[in-house]
Amino acid sequence: MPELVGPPVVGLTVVEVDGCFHIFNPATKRAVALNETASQIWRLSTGEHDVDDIVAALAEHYGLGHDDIEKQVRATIDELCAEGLYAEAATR
Amino acid sequence: MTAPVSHRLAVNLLGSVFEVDTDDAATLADVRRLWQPFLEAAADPSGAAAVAVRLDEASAPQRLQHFATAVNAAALDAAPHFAVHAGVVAYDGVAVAMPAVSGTGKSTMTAACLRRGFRYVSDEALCLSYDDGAVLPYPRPIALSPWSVDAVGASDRGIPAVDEFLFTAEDLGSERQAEPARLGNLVILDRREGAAPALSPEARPNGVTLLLQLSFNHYRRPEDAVRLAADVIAGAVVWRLEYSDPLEAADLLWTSFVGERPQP
Repeated sequence: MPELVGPPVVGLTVVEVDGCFHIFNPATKRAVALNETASQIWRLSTGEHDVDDIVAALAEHYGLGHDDIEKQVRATIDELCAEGLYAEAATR
Repeated sequence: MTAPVSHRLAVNLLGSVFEVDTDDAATLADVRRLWQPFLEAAADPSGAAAVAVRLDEASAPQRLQHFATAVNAAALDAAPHFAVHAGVVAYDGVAVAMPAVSGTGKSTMTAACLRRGFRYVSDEALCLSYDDGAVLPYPRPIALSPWSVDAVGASDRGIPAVDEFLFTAEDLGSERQAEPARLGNLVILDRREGAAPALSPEARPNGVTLLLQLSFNHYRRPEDAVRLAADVIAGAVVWRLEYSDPLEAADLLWTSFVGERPQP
């Protein structure tokens, strides 16, 4: 079973400025600012892509190797998950 | 022996009405002069219940400091607008906001900008309307330390509070921005000893983050605050200002945002 990432939990307030997202989670009452890379990961966190898909997309975008960025992508997904931004059972 | 005469005066700060109560006529006169823009608002019936602020400290500076601190904190917390800790000036209806925490030079930079031709919006808060994102004036008295008074070449018209002096925009040779303005520029202050003034573009998402981090009251309407912060920044330019001398920095802001000064 692939590790599908997302979808976002319902009820978030998501705004985008210059390609970067700010997300307010009413459940935690926290606003999270995503940098450009994290925003790209968030954009792909629809529940339809697994971690390898996202790593591949970012590796292509930045012209880097899969192994070069996999650790960072996984860490970012873990942070987004810890912020409660993904629907609970969806990211695995 | 006569009983002290109580003097009262009402001010309306961002929709919160405060009634000054003091036995000292001179203190009342200082409040009247420094908070003059808010007297006009208080005269306009708002229906808000007044909060009494009794000023019975021993000295006039203590009384003024008490009043300034008490009403500012209460008004910003209760403001029906998105309020962010910032110095704000304006030109041609365009606001320049300098968000920063206390003690980092925003009042000094605000005063320096007034000395260099900008209009006064606030030395304390960027107040944004939730309705349309307009920058709403909050022209409280400008509080300057003795160092800041010297640094911006302020006149001797400041009224002493505790460890600082209070000025109106007119005291600094400027005038207040009476009408709502549009946020055109957000300037992140980066004061470095000895640095020549330099203005460089900053990523706009950092501006959104700063507005949310430095807000007084975003917790009241968090979803709206996030949307509003993004909306106003999307229509503005975000800069980083490296500087040492506030007046030189204000000159740079003027020439960058407004244009060259006419030669005398």
